[in-house]
Formats: sequence, C-alpha cells, structure tokens
Amino acid sequence: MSLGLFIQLLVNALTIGSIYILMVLGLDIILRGTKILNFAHGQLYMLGAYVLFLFFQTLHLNFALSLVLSGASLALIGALSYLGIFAVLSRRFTVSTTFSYILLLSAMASVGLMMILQQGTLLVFGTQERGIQSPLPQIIDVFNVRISLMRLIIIFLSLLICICLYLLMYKTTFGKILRAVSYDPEAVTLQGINTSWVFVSCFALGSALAGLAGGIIAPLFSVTPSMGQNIIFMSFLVLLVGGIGSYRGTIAGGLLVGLLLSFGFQFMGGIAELFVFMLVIIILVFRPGGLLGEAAE
Amino acid sequence: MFLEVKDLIVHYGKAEVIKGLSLKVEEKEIVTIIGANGAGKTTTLRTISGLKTPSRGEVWFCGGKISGLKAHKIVRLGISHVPEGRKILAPLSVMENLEIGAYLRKDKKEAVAGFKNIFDHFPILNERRKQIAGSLSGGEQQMLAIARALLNQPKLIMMDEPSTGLSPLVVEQMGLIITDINSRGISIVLVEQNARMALNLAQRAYVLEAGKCVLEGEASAMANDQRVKSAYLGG
Repeated sequence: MSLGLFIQLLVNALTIGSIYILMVLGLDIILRGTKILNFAHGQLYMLGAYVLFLFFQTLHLNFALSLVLSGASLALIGALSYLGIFAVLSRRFTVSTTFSYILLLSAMASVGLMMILQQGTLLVFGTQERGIQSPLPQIIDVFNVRISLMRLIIIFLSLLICICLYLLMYKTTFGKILRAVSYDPEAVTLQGINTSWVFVSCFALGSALAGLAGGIIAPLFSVTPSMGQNIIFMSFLVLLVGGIGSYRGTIAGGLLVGLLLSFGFQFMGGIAELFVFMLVIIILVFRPGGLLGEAAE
Repeated sequence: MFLEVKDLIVHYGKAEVIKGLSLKVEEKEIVTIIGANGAGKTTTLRTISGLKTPSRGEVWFCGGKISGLKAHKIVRLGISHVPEGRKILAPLSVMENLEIGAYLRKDKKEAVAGFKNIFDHFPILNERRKQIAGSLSGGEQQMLAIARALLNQPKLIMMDEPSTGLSPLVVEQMGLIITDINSRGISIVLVEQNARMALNLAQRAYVLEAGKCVLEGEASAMANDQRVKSAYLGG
C-alpha cells in the first residue's frame, strides 16, 4: 500500500469516525438522561441533512450558518417530539413500573417516532436524491497526497463540536445538571430543580448532535430519505463497542469503527461491514461493558 | 402550624403503606419518627417532600397546603429532604454536588457565601471538593448530603436514616451536626432505626407500626417507656 493511499484511507476513516462520534454522543446523552433508546436517531440525522439542503442549497445561506440552523432546528424538533410523545408516555409510569418496562415502551415509542419522521420526509421531499454542492470542492496536495478539503473541514468541525460539548457538560451549571440527572433524577428534583425540563433539554441536545452530524456530512454524500436507516445500526454498534456512559469510549469506538470500515472496504469490499460486526462481538466477549463504558469498570 | 400531616393514606400500587397518619412539627423543633423496617417511615418523608402523592389526607406547611405540589416546588418552599441512602451524585465532584444544591440561589455572591459557610462547618468537604463524590467515606458522603440540603436554605430538614452504615464514632459526630443545624433555627424531622440516638436528640417522637402511629410524646419520656424500650432499645 502506498503512503498516499494510506493517508487517504486514514482521512476517510476519520471522516466516518467523526460522524459516528457525533451520532453516538447524542444517542448516549438521550439514553442516559431520559432512558430512551432512540431508534429515531437516524431520522434526526437525515432531517439535519435536509435542513442543511434547504438553507444552504435552496436559500443560498452560507455553510456555517446553515449548519448552525441544522443543529438548532433539530433541537426544536427533538424538544417537540419529546413533549409530544415521551413526556406523555412517562406520565403512565409510576414508582412501581419496572425499569425494563420503561426502557421497552420508550424504545417502542421511538420506533413510532422514526416511522413518523421517515414517512413525513418522504411525503414532503419525495424519494429522489438531493445533491448538495460542496462548499469547499478544492483538493489539496500534501506531500503529493491528494486530500479533499471538505473532509478535513468535517473532521475539524466535529472536533470543535466535541470540545464545545465537553465545555457545556463540565463547565456550565446546565451541563452539570444534565450529568446529575443521568445519574439520579430524584436527587436532582430534591434540590429544587424541575427535572421535566432537564429531560426535554437532554432530548433536544441529543437531537441537535444528530442534526449537526447529518448537516456536516450532507455535502459529501447525496441526501436521501433512507440515509437515516443506514447509519442507525452502525451507531448502536459504536455505542456498544465504546461503552455506554463514557465520552472517551464513544470517541475510541467511533474511531475504531471508522478505521475498520474505511480500510475494510478498500481491501475486502462490501463484506467489511460483516467483518466489523464480528470483530465487535469478539470485543464484547472480552469486555461486555465496551472499551471504556460505565459497565466496563 | 409549621408542618402538619393530616390523616395521610399512601399506597404503593395496591398496598396501603400509610394508613391514616397524623403528625405535627413545630418551628425549631427536632421530631423523630421511629419504627421497624417497613413501618412506613421513609414513605412518610417521601410523601411530605412530594416524591410520592398521597391517596388521601393532606400536608400543610407554613399555612399552605403542599400535598399535590411537585417535589421541586416543595423544596423551594423550605423543606429539604436528605433521602435514605444519601443519594449523593457519585460521578460528580464534591463541589459540583454542592453547586447543584445551591441551584436555587440565583445570586452568585450569595451562593459563594453559602459555600464558605458550608466549608466552615465541614472543612473536610473543602479539602475534598475536587474529588469524585463517590470516593468519599460513608460519613463524608452523609455530610455532603446534609451540606447540599443546607444550601437549599431550608426551614425544615428531613433526614432519613443518617446513621446507617456509619461507625459509632461518626454516628456521634452526626448527632452533633444535627444539634448544630437545629441551633441555627432549622426544624428537623429525623427518621431512624437507631432509636437510642434519635430519642436523645429529639424533643418529641412518633412511633410507627405498620403505617400507623401507635405512640407519640416527649422523647425523654419515650426513652423510658417500657414498650419502646423492649421493642426499639433492646430491653
């Protein structure tokens, strides 16, 4: 393998990996904060891409602003979905409702949300693929290796979002409350904090991350209504391999799966995905809690 | 009346766990609720703090009805609940736990003064403020839970089994902390398995059995009552 090919595959791996990381950080924030295993996460990602298409391609706003709008719109859609579906559902739960029942019912409700968003998008936008003109089509040449500038920007933006998320979760009162609610909502209620709004915020923040992931990747691939279905299972896989409840685990898992997919496709073709799933099963045999998750310790 | 619980009935599912309980707490008083496991002590506290909704009966605090209000609103009225098992936020740092306790103080300066006050009373928490709360010893975790409750600026603190899992020396220290908090004018409702400690600290006591109050009165008199002695004080 030439150095040029190696670097190109590495850049591809980091691009895919960053998208998974954003997706899974969102999944994890929602899962731990609201106890919802969000099957609709892929559709939120898909909607993020459509919002970007709308603002960037149709209304010709600049890319950065369109991306911010993708995140913001999805935060709003997430908050409304939570209030309309999950908040109503949670009123049926009492202290004696078992945790497994809560998890199952919430996950099923998210499957419902997935179908609503999927079919809604089909109705509005139709089945056709939408292409987005890359805002940065340049190819740069580093030591005779040709690399797409857009891919580097995607990696950079994802890193920037991760840093912002870290600052939000560890340096602001809001983030500290989100982390506290993920651990024990009742203890937080007893400090005079209205946890209902914290749950809404958790779902909105997780949805915003999915929207940003969809928006960032949109110029690289074409936007289709089915793009959410393709990414959700791989995202669950990253969540498991990295470990639930660990940001470092999510990042490690995202990068690992990105590398395996990128290099796997080059040398094995389509069977690479099967190979990734098998490898993850092997990892989980030895570390059932994932690489760095809460359950791993 | 400061705090009054009237004819309370509480269910968990179909099981009636509190069967018509009435009790009163005066301002600046320490009242203890003692009783065996499953007598309904914890449920009583959870109902007062709004974590559990009563099926019937009412709770009044400072002249207003509070039963039916959400738990976070009841804290704002001045009742803090240090729950069973402490419920500290183990993955967060000690300081973050305190910050969440001070959430209701919108004025930043006031919050800083609150932390300083806490650290004066619990210097160990200052030493450990950057540590993860889950790494504290049992006694330190209990202090953190009490400190966090104090930051809510309560008029009444309800403590559920503060002595559980602590060594006798630390239990004694906990007794001093409770007396000290009370001397600042804060009323205390103390639920305890350790009836001896509770009756020493409290002015008045209620004895719960199977969701009903079977005995109430002066704590000192209760400590000498033959029935209480044989049932809760080991002879």
